[in-house]
Amino acid sequence: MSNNKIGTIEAIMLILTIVIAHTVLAMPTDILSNYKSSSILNLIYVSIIAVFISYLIYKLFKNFPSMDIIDISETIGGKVFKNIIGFIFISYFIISSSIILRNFCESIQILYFPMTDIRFIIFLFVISLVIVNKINSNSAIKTNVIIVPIALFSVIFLFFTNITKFVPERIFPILGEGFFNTFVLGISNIACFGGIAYLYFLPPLLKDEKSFKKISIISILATSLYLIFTIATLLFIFTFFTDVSEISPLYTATRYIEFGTFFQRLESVFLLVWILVFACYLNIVCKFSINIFQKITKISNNRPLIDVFAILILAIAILPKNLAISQAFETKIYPKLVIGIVLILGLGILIFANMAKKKQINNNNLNNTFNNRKELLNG
Amino acid sequence: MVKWIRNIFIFIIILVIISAFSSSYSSLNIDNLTYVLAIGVDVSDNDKIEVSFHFTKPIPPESSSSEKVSPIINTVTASSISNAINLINGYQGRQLNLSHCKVIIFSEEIAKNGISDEIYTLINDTQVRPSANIIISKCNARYYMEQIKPEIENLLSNYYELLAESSKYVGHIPNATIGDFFNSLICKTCEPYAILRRNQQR
Repeated sequence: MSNNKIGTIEAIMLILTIVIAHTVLAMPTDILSNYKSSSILNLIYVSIIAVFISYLIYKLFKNFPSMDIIDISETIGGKVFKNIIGFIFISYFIISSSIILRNFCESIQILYFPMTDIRFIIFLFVISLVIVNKINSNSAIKTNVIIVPIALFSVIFLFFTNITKFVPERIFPILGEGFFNTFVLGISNIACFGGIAYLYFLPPLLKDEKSFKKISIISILATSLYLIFTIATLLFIFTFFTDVSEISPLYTATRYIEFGTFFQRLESVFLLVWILVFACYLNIVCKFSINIFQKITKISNNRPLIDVFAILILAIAILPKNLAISQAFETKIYPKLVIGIVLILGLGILIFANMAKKKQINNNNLNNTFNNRKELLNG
Repeated sequence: MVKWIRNIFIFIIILVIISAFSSSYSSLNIDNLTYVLAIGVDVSDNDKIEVSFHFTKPIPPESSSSEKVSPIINTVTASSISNAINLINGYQGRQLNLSHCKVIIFSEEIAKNGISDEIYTLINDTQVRPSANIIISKCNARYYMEQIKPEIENLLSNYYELLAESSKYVGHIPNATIGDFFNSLICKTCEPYAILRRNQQR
């Protein structure tokens, strides 16, 4: 049983996988084109807010031990509300991961498989998802512990190997397009921390529930550092990315790595690491979606669900007609989904549940005092 | 029985994947590609450009490594570099590949008119590396390529690669790459620069 539980480091790596999978695609371009030279300052600002939110989530979960957001929604709104919330989160996980898978596969197709139909590239990822989840769904989470540190190291490596090409002056003007754009409109950048969504489902899966505080804060801090390193690398090397949008900006940055004339073209190694991270990301998404579905429907055997969810991911991934549509989803709709579902809906449920619990405790206390007094008077 | 059906199913999936990916494998195979070493862009009539591609024939395995291979320059007239690549792919047996393109040469005449369209095309091409050097030639770009006959170096690709390396110990040539050029081109406070070369025209 304990083999199905997640350890502290595994949980931290799990949150990081989500962010790494997104930064490989259009997210850095979006940040750089919106905030320009103030991107790093904006990320620091948003990171502080994200750490505060993760601490708030920990505090709100404290009153509900061994419960995730689905169980909590059942306590406040009954079975119907629980089902609605469950389906909202399943839809969010499946749709966002499918479209992001599509974008990633488009990049792979452009770079290495120009003659292969995109459906077959997506199909390969889906096959890996089915195999891993059928054997042991937790194996992807354990694999993360090996892959994510390599991915993190690759970004640090990218930063230091490109340091000779850096123009640090590109950080100026420090406020980019102004205070309002950086700090007021810039709050929407909180969508970079999409991994927060998985914090809502972690408590019942953890080996040691007391480590939830550590997990939520360390994972968000590590995510912030990773994002700052990534954006700093791109900001210091390139002027801006609005003019080159076909492939991932991080991939373009890897093409600049050269050690003389002997050691060149390292981008394939980076792509290999990202492919592995992506496979783990899909497995995690599938595992969490199946867990939620199992909770809603109370199905005892979840093995047949793996095929269903895999086909669902495949179907949604091949749905967009072209790269422009799937990229529009990633840059325009996905951030709004994170803010709406993960931050507003998720936090709203937790805050409401805590208020309801507090009210219930107060009522119980009042009833107890009333009963005690009644007994005293009768006695 | 179930296991038997499952094995057949797995076998079919493997076959489908192999056949799906084989087309990409064969299109990116070294036997089907021609590697361009340099691209030259000149002006032409009717708002068109003359694009010259400099490549070498692959060395046959039986020939010795010291044997010099004669370079080939093919020129087409087109409205853009992308069209020129399509045109040349149309009549040449092998597909052009720019992943080993070391130098992009523009004639002074075309550089004076502006080369931002060409730079945008090249930087968005995933095959072109950001480390490829940009040269502005005082003479015709094709003529400049024809005149490159390295005496010490047998391999032309090596010569092109080492061309800008001298910037590390000589002050006459800068290491002007297309990556830096593009960065400076879209930066509001920067000026792009390239290597200026001259070959005496006949």
